Amino acid sequence: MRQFEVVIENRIGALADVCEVLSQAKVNIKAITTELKDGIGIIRFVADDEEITRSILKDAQLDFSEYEIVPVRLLDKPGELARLARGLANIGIDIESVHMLSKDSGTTEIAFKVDNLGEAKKILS
Amino acid sequence: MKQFDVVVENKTGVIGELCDALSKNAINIKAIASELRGGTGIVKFVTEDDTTTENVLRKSNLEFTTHDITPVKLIDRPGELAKVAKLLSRSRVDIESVFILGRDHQNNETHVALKTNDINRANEVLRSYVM
Repeated sequence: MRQFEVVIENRIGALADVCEVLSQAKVNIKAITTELKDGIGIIRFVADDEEITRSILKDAQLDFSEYEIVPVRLLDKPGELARLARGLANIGIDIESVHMLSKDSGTTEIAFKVDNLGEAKKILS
Repeated sequence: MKQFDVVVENKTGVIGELCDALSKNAINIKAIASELRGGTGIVKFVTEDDTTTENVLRKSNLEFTTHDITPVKLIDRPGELAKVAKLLSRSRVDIESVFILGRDHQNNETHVALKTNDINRANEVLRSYVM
């Protein structure tokens, strides 16, 4: 699963612009999170169609990067994420970013970006 | 609904420690997102119990801030978030942060939390979407 990261000017309407570019191409956003860093905005998202997303971000001349993330399904109860984060820490894997992909009755799907994808996949899968 | 932003040292294991502190108090995380800013990490999350969360964070001596957020219900299809973002920008409301709270597959809905620079105005503009 790929996560896209778009760097934009931090101004009113910037998120609307990016979402419109995606929606015009009928791309659905599966997960999204944003952050502000020194005057710029960063939008991180997972889309339902990676190829179309890549090509429309290119066409729109947006400044973006992409990377692999590990999706994990957890029981929706206290302690599940703690257990997983602890397991990764115990083998020296650094979690660079974590966010939710979705939540169903009883389970939560989480995306991890880690510094060692191969090792992380072994214990997360 | 409140969003908690906890500032942590950027080192292996910090998310584990934070989650441990919450889970020991039976606090369930409803939504989470994290970011790195310089050498520090910021973990942003929403829980099922604002008051207990605040107490736990305070007792753990963690550096944190709280923010009121606007939870909205969107149909899970292309263009919905664009519509909401456009409504806010037309009213000159700045979106400071957005993340997913959950998804209701039965009703084909996605629940999104918005942190803005004017929560009253955001709640007013988005009244038909607010949960």
